[in-house]
Amino acid sequence: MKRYQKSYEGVSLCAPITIPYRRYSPETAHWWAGAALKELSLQTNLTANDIDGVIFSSFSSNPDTVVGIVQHLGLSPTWMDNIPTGGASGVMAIRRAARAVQSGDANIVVCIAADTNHIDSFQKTLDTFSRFSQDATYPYGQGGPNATFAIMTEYFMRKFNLTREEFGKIAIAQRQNASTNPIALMKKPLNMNQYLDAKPIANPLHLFDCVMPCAGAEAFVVTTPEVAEKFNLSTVKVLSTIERHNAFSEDHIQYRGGWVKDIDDLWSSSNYNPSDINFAQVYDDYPVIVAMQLQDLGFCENGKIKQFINDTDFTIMGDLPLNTNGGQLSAGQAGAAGGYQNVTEALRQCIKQPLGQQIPNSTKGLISGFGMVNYDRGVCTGAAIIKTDTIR
Amino acid sequence: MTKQKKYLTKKNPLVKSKINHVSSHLRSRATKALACHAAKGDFVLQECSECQYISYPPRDRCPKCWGVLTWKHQKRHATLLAETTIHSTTDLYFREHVPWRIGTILLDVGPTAFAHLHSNVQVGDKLKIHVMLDRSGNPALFAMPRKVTVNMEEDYQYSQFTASPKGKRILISDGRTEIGQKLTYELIKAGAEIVYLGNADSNLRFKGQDSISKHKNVKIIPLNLLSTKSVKKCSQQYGGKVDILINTASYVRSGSIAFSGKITEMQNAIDLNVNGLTRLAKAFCPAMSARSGDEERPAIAFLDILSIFSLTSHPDYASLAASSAARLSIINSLRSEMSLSGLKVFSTLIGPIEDEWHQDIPPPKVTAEQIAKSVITSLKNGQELTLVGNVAKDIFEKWSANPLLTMRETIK
Ligand SMILES: [Zn+2]
Repeated sequence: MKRYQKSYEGVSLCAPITIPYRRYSPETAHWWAGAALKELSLQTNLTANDIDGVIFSSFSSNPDTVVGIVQHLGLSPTWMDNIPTGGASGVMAIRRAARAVQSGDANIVVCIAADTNHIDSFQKTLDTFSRFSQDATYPYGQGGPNATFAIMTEYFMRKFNLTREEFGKIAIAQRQNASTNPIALMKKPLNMNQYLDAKPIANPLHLFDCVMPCAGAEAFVVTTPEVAEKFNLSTVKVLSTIERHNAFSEDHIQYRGGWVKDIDDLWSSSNYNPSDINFAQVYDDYPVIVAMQLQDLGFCENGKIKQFINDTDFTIMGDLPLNTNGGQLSAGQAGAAGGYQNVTEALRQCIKQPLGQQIPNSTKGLISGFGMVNYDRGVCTGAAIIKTDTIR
Repeated sequence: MTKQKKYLTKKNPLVKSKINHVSSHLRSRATKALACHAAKGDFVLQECSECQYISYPPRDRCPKCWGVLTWKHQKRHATLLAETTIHSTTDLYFREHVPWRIGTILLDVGPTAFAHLHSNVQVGDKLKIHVMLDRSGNPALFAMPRKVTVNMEEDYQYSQFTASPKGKRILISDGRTEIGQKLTYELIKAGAEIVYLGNADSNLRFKGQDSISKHKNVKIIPLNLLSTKSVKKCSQQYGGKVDILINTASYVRSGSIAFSGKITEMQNAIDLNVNGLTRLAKAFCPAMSARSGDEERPAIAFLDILSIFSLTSHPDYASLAASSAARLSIINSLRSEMSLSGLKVFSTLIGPIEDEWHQDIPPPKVTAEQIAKSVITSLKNGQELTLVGNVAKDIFEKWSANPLLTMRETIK
């Protein structure tokens, strides 16, 4: 059944907030969420009374979800939602908040992702991540997501004839982008030899294929153009979005994601083609997922990802600026905030307030999310095409 | 070539034993159910009772039609689709065992799954899949080569799931019986380094003593399970150098509850079969479990041989059945306790044996040789529960289907 997506008329994305990440933090997810709200109020003059919609995403706020956060931080919204889908949560937050604003269920929705990272957080998150993981993934060497993605990478490389160099090119380009971002955790230049010779983690993955878990928070606001004007906020429009879960469960090993199912809708609703897009912020827990998204989202012909990577410059001044803040591979993975940093960086490039270097032409961007390796593959996918509206 | 384990001769007493870690215990109830089948060496997967769809990992409902799932025997064949070698992990158990190879297998019956890999299998290879119990006692899929090769079971990863007697120091609690002696010879044939053979009464000679005591890999040692002092003394001397302990002791007399049996026979049965096992476990398991994580010469298994009537009771062997029921219960408790340390606990359930104490029971009966061979196989395969003989197999099958009916059927 063909779906006709209603337009996102009357919806503005604004006020991207990033609280500088830390490798480890003794604080809680609540503390980090509060830090995001504090920074938001300083930058926008929004108060608790103005905020009538809240979306929250976190892996480390246990036992609290959005309701605990709302009470903890003294909010009183008319609408709220909890989005526990990690790398896909940012795109899903845009979709849900946008419709809430359009329908009038909420006027000013603040979307917050916050995660802390204690010394033992990573292991605790793994232990309780999902039932299938407990039963059928972690008992197998307990390599965590590294092992699962290693298998996906090994398979993807064989299927599409890639070598480690292609993944290295992505990691190195993102590191170069990170070098301009003062708050990226890893800014030291990376060259191909260092990438190839790094410590093995789970073959074929080596150290620079893996993100560094850290603590941090990201936030943005979804509201109407009228409210944005009142608060003097620069705005970005949503042109089209897609979301898909548990697609292609028949594939023996994941080499494509749910985007493939809906990609035509995404581009046709936006009235753009991939070649019209100025930059892409795609989820990057591992380079293989970046490659998968570029191919599945139509930036190259299916099966031609090797050539596309070799032919494309992914740095900020390049043909397709990619993960311009350095992405998670260089800026760090702050839990669920990793699923929002692609959104906040995209908004910043559109409204010309980047953390690092500005892309020269940056009005049309693509955001893509990928989340929840519940067992042997990522279950949740989503994407959004956005466009600069008003810069104030 | 199968990567082989090295065997050192002596543990340095000055080096502190490492704290042992076992793999994670967190599992769903459905996966724990798989462990019951894995314990018997069966390969089962969930099959939908309505649409016959076969799924994995364990679920509570069919993902195709939401029907009810049941465990069914499945073909073990699979193909290796992709693999990785894990070098880095936050898990304390696997940190001691990396690099560790796993892969994605495609089972011929449909589902894909992660599995531990034998060192001889490569991507594209045809596999034979086993459900093994890992060091935490939980089920795990292990991919073996389809073609049997020499020393295949000595693979390093595979050996973490098994208790092969090769190169091991083994204590048998009662060497005075035919079972104890047959088992000794079979263990040595299977490569055991030494068998310490318990003798409850050094003054009283036993049948077969002359030939077995001459064997260079056998050492007859004083061990009387009826005496706490004797068991303790034995454990002080041998607890630190026993890798596998096998309890072969059993007190068997015919006799019913009301008419033919004597209270003294019940007391004797309880004292050897129940208290004897408890003394043995109490004296040896703390020392053995402390050594179960050692890199060189770990203690790996505790095995008990007991009567199948532990499940059903038996009117004419009332004291044997009652004491065996208690024995089975003790072993189950011990298994749970030892799963925290990684020491594997095995049970071998036997039917009536061909000896003077089972004259009243008609054939088929099991021989000491059958029992000995089964014990070796169960250790080699890491199979927790083994049934020896047609009577034991038949009773177990009936008991699995309907325990109360099976108990009633043993009443004539
Ligand atoms: Zn079904």
